[in-house]
Amino acid sequence: MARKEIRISGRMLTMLKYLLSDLRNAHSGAEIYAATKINSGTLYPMLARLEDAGWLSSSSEEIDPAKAGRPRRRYYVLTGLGQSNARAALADLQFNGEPQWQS
Amino acid sequence: MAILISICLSIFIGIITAEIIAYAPSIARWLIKRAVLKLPEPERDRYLEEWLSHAQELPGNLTKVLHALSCACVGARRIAKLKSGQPSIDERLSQGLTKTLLRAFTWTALCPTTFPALFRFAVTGQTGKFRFLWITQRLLVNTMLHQVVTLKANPVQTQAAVKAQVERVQAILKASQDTGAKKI
Repeated sequence: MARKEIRISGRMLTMLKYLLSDLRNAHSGAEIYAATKINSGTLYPMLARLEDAGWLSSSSEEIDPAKAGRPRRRYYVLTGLGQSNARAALADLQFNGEPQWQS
Repeated sequence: MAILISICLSIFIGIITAEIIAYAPSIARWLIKRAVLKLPEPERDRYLEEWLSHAQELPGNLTKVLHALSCACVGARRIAKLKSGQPSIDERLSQGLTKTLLRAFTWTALCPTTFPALFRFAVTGQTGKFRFLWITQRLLVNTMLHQVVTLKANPVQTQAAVKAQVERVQAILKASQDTGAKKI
């Protein structure tokens, strides 16, 4: 699949920061929503865009929905490309010293 | 009497609200099922499962409905657009702006070359020649813009496409001249 360019918004940065904060575990959409409060209508298209661009990979929970009595969750995790790009995007926001208006 | 009516009304509203809240998870489920219909076929099962599991993890009944509404009204439409490969509104705006600017520039550049001829044809009443030159000019400009902006072609490809159009126009012109000669 062709890798697409990503336009990074404030909400996307919030989500990337959350995903970067815990790289050991994969996160479901509901967990990301609970942590970032980004509403579902924005969150899922954002996850789809990142997945298409190769920043995220996702996998379904390995359970039998009939036995568990609930639908399977889908877990998202940052890929290597996603990690480096997310770090770069967040680093762009860091101040180097005092802001100009304070000096 | 008024007190009695207000008590009855408040009880009635309370019952209706409780009913609606009790049905909220079913409403949310129905909304999510409707929402996934907007998605391309291969994506439906995945998002149905994902959105239903998300709804189930939400604590309140009204929150479930809000989640479903958000998925139905915004999420599904955006994902459908993304998966269909349509350009985003930003891309379309930038393409439109680039085309307008390039068109204005090209027409300004072409004016000194073709305007005298167009003016002469218009003044002398040679409408056929006027229309031919005008349409040819538009065709060549639009071909160039399509190559550069929409197809993102390089200068060599653009030049080749414009040259092909010129040859096509020349062939049409030659064919019309031949037909004219035969008639005479």
